[in-house]
Amino acid sequence: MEGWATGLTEADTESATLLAGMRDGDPAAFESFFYRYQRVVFATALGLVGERATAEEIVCDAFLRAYASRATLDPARSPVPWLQRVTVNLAISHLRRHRFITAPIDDLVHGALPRTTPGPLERRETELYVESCLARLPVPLRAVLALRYLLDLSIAEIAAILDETPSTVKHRIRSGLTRLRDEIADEEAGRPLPVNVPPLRGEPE
Amino acid sequence: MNPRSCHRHQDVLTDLEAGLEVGGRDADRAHAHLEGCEICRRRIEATALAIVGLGRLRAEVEAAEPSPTAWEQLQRRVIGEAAARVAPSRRRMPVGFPMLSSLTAALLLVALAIPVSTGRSAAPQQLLEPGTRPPAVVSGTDGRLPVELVRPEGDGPAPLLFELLVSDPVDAIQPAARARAAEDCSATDGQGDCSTGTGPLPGGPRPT
Repeated sequence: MEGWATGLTEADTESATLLAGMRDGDPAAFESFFYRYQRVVFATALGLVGERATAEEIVCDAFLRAYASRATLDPARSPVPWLQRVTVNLAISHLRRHRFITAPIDDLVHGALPRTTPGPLERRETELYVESCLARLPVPLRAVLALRYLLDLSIAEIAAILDETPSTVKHRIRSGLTRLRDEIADEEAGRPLPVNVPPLRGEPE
Repeated sequence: MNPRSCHRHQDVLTDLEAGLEVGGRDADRAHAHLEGCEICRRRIEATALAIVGLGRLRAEVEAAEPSPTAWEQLQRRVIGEAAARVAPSRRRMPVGFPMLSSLTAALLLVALAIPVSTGRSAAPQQLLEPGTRPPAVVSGTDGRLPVELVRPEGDGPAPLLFELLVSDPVDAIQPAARARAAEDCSATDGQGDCSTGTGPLPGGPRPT
């Protein structure tokens, strides 16, 4: 995934050529533009919404907007920040509309079943576990955590994408981590005990 | 340890764990507090675990491949949106709407009366022969949306095919439409603007 998260400010001659081609109505230029930036847009959407099908829809929406805005995009600058900003806004709108059904279905199913093996969680299980806790956070906190920890963006980059000050972003990261930590603790406390763990002393069998 | 003191250092400790910038003196104080505070140590450990969990999610996001059919999906969306853009314009009421609606009603009555007088059923569903497509079917893949209209009069449905050229997205994205436009342009002996591929297209002038 080379360069997709880091090339935020560097001018890119190839993207300039593609943008110029799009302005001239060259369909091949738009197709090349799509394939060049599809991955960064998809990763951004997936990081925020955590669901593949929705992320793919958001990718479509983002590129439709890019095509509609081709005349105003500056060829001298990388289109990545613009694309990420549009993608984040689309993802946030989606999360606000669907805030009560954001946990992955397999996680909901899994959470309802008792665990049969004690000990450290499996890798995939941990991911789902953290993902479901992340999905319960308020959208602004979830967004900054996703941008910071899933997409590895700097505070300045997140501030530019969200149109917020760096101190607001820092504050949200701090609040988000605290909330996430508490969600995980609550989840751990409410988790069904493994079936082969003996009941605590004094508890009825 | 005094809970008030814990509260004072909590934000700084979280910032340190999150890798955010913290002033040197604040960091030293927070570290000193952490040495003797079991509660804060546990909280920081829990925060670190949450960050580790996020790191694992990150690996998953980075490894995720976009759908191989994403470009086709985008093309379908473009065509769908273009069709949707055409449809609402038909629903828009013109200024002389009451007069036109009366005229339409009169024409409909005439259209229904003709089959009745010739002994044919006037039921709307029978105006179409079996196997024919309903009127105003919108479809298209090459930048134009052929709209098929079916005339009720006559021996059978005589489809009238119109091509509605939708605005930019479809014809600009679809190479076939542009290739055809270029051909048409050369066929019209330089009347169109061949350099941009916006020359005249069969079926009428290009809508703005």
